[in-house]
Amino acid sequence: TDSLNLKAQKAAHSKSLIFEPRIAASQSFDTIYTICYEGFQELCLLDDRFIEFQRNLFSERSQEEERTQMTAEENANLDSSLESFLGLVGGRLRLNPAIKAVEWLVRRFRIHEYNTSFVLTTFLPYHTLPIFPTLLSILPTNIPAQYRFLHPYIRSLAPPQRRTIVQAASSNTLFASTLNTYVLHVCRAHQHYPALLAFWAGVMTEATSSMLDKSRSGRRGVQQQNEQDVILRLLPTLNEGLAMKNIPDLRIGCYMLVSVMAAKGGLDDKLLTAMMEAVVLGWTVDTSFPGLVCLSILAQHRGAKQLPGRLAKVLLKTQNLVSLFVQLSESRRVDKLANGLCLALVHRLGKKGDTAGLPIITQIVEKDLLSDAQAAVIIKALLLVAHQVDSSDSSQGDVRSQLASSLVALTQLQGSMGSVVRATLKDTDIDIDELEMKLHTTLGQDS
Amino acid sequence: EGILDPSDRVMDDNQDENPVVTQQQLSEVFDIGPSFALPPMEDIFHQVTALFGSKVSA
Repeated sequence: TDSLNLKAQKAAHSKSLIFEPRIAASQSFDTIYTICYEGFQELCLLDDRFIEFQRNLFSERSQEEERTQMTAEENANLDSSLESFLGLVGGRLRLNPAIKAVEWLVRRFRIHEYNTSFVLTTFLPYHTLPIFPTLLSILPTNIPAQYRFLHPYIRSLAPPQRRTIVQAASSNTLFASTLNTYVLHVCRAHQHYPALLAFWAGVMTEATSSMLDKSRSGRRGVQQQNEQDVILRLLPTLNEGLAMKNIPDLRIGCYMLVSVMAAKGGLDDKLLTAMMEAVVLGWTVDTSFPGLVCLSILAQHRGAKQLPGRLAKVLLKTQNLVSLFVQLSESRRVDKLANGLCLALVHRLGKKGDTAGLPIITQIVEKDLLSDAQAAVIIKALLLVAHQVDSSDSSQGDVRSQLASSLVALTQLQGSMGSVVRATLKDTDIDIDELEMKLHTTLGQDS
Repeated sequence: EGILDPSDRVMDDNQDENPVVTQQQLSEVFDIGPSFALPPMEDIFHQVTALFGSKVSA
């Protein structure tokens, strides 16, 4: 059995990302270390975050480290250093120095055997490159369940197509969760890079859309359950992704998933509202426009018209909100979002006497962002608030004068929106003369 | 704790003024090259949401 053991050891030692098995088998750790360390040094020059691995994974001492002689705790610490290094090197895998450095982890720490899933996920965005089949060629016979879909590719040593990965993400919940967990882990460590986030967001968007399409078949009750399962599985990832700060691409990726879920999933109002709030919470100048696009899709699928107060408050603080709406309206439907905001702002005005939203309401009507019917409702709501203003209460003077000038501006609008406003004014049961007295103004019905 | 409460329920409410987006259309956005050669995330986002959220001809 000793000779068998020796043979097995030799076979294990021949697994390499760079060398032919025959050559690899004959290499000493000293030789391998020299070659790999060179790659590591180059990485350190590119990004000084690599330097910390000089202490452990790439130390002189590492040449003597043997997993089988380490305690469980030592192995666990090693795994955590390895994952940290792999996360960081992920963005560089097209560079030779990176492959050389990873080679050390393969030869010395056997990451392909001990950290199979993490290594595969790290290399997955590069599935089209020859390095991927090379990685497949050194994997152990037993690979983790989430990556069993790669078996045909391990046999043929061909690179899997993107379609295969999307298919796996939609039919294999373990794989989807592995991918989501990996991305969040890497983002938390601030080791993300654009290709990873684009890869993840793309695969998960397509997979989610496909899962939601599939959940539509079958009985209605079963449909709902399936749909709900798909959505519930994704919520924790979206929650964490949207809560993470300063990673615009992750945020926009989450917006993409949320938009697809809303457009395909038939989410109920409570969930749509929660999502709308999650979308605006923590958005920045880099993400507020895509955030508005996402909000407009969510609003379009929401039954309730008025936006929740917290959401309106954030929107009120958004710079150039109306011009962003106008830009958005060139290609998208923005009417439900704009209308929902106007209703919430009128509500704030009536309830709290907060006039900050009045210019936004006026501009939204003026820029033709609402349908005629929506505009008419907003005008009526404004008139109602005006009617309720207490003319004897001097503290309401500000509300009175601003409301008056907004209403006057609206009645004087040119074009069809102006006609809608004037027609609405005529249409209400409110006594306009009384209202004009109350507001100390003339609403110019005759113009 | 997250703001998205998983206990929220999902309903089946087909508002069919929404455009039907096929897998093929989505693949055309994403499956255009290796991940490291994809356009910026925001461009991809706008292409995808244009499929789902574009104006429906009245």
